[in-house]
Amino acid sequence: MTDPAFEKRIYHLFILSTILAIIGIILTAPIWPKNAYAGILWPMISVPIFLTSVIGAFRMQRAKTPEEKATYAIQHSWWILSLGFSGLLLFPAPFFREAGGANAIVMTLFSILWTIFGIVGVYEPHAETGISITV
Amino acid sequence: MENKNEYPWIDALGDYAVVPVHPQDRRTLTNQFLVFTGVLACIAALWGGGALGTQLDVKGLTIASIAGSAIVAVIGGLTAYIGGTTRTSTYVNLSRPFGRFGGFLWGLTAAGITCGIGWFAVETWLFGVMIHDLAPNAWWADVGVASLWGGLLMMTTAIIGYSGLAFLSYLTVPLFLILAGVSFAMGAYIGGGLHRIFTLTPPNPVPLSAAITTVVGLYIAGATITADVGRFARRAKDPVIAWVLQVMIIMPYFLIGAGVLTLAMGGTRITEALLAAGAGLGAYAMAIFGQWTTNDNNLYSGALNWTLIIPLKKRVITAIEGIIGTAIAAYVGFSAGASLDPFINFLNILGKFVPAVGGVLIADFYIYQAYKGVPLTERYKLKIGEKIGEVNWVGWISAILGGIIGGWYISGIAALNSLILGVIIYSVLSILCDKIGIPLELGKFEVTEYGLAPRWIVERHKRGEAQ
Repeated sequence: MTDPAFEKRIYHLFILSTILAIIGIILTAPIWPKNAYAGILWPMISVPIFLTSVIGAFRMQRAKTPEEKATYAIQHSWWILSLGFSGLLLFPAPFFREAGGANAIVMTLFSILWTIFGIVGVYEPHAETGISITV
Repeated sequence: MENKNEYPWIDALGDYAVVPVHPQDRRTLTNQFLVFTGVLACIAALWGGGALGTQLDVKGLTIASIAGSAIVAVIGGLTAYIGGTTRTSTYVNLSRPFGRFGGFLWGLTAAGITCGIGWFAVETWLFGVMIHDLAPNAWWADVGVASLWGGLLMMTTAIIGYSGLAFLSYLTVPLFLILAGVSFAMGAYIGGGLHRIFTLTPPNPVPLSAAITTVVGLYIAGATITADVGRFARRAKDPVIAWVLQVMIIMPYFLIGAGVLTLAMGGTRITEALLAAGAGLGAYAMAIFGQWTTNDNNLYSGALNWTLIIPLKKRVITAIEGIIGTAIAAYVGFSAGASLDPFINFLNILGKFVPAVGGVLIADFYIYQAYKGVPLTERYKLKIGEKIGEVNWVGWISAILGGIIGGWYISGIAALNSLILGVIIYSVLSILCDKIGIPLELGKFEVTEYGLAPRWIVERHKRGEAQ
């Protein structure tokens, strides 16, 4: 059985998501002492993205059929997409911008990337295997 | 594994309204969890939490949220399993303890009128009010105008069907979870820190039992119609796991988050509080997606029932139903001083019977069928050629008595009273009738490959195929 074409690309997206999430977790450090209540948003977005990306990659690796791989890719990409979208709405908000400054802008950019990765991760396996995007 | 060629049913109404769900359309546990959470993730839940924040301190808030959620988890778990094992909608399942005609009438009461038109209109109007509170000077945020575009927005995913609901839930549930957490953090910040939050006292304290009543009442109607989502599960236990997880984890999380924000800020309008605290677009997202994910479910469940009497495609019915609900909401929004109170009171009266209907369903599936010796996995399995009663009079009497006595004459949690009375009255009456030989059902309807579709729908479908 050959590996589906989307598999490699989705792995790369999961790896990139994981790297950005690790940076996001590190970026919490300067915010936390200033305002922990605003700083909580950094790990609230980054930690679930880290977990869903890593677990998603492992589940895809263990899956046997292209359909199974597509199912895991779509499910985990949805989480990345929705969490990225959440960051996109919240990091530029006054409460978090005041606490985070340039750090909040960086996280907004990361959120845009996560949203794009999520869209690609949902669409590509669906287009290739026909698995529903709401599997 | 089931072969899709073995699927003998014809889905003439669409979205498997009266036949079991096709194996190829079954969804994962994640899907079930997200769709259930999408229904829960609404402003009403957060306003409910906000109301608790004016009545309880943080400890009381936590206890009431967890205790109330546990009751809802048990009830919804029981009905979700019925959907997971039978693969059929609430309407089809109700046709066993109420008869085919009874299932249709009670389904219309529980979902068609109450959710599909009633609550859809109320929630659409509330959406308009909320958007107006967020941007009081904008023309597009006038209560009537916002109700119009909000109602149309909510119709779109309901018209698509289950896939539309699932799509929106996938997109917004994690967002809503983040927003609820942000509410909690902002509430703690404005309240002067976590340590101070724990010392705050509520302005209008109530006993813990009254607060648990509020929590149960918030979601018990949803708990009785879980089969509409659970029927799409791949395994029978998946909707039960999904339901219990979301109710025991996500519901207390929402309630406590909203309660703490209210306790800290002193107001129950959570979106306004979020905007004032600096959540920016997050406050708008909470208002829009919070109402959207819940209200499209109202419309969807309602349309499933209306398809049985209106000779139009389900999508057209959903659109008509949505337009009526939106028009009511916009009319109230445009008419300054108009109140939805009489309308809401009427819906609340209907709502007292919904838990009793759920109780009768639970009693018939878990108690009466067990008494008859039907194995758990075989109960309510729809079979071509089998005969289902047109009216099950025991179900009708149990639901009416349970709703009236539990809703008006016994103190405590009205919804829970009705449900428990529904279970007790149905179990006692049905077993008693069986023992003394009185038939429960009147009239017979033969199940065809069109499931429980009325004859006129079958004939119309056959004519369409012939052309």
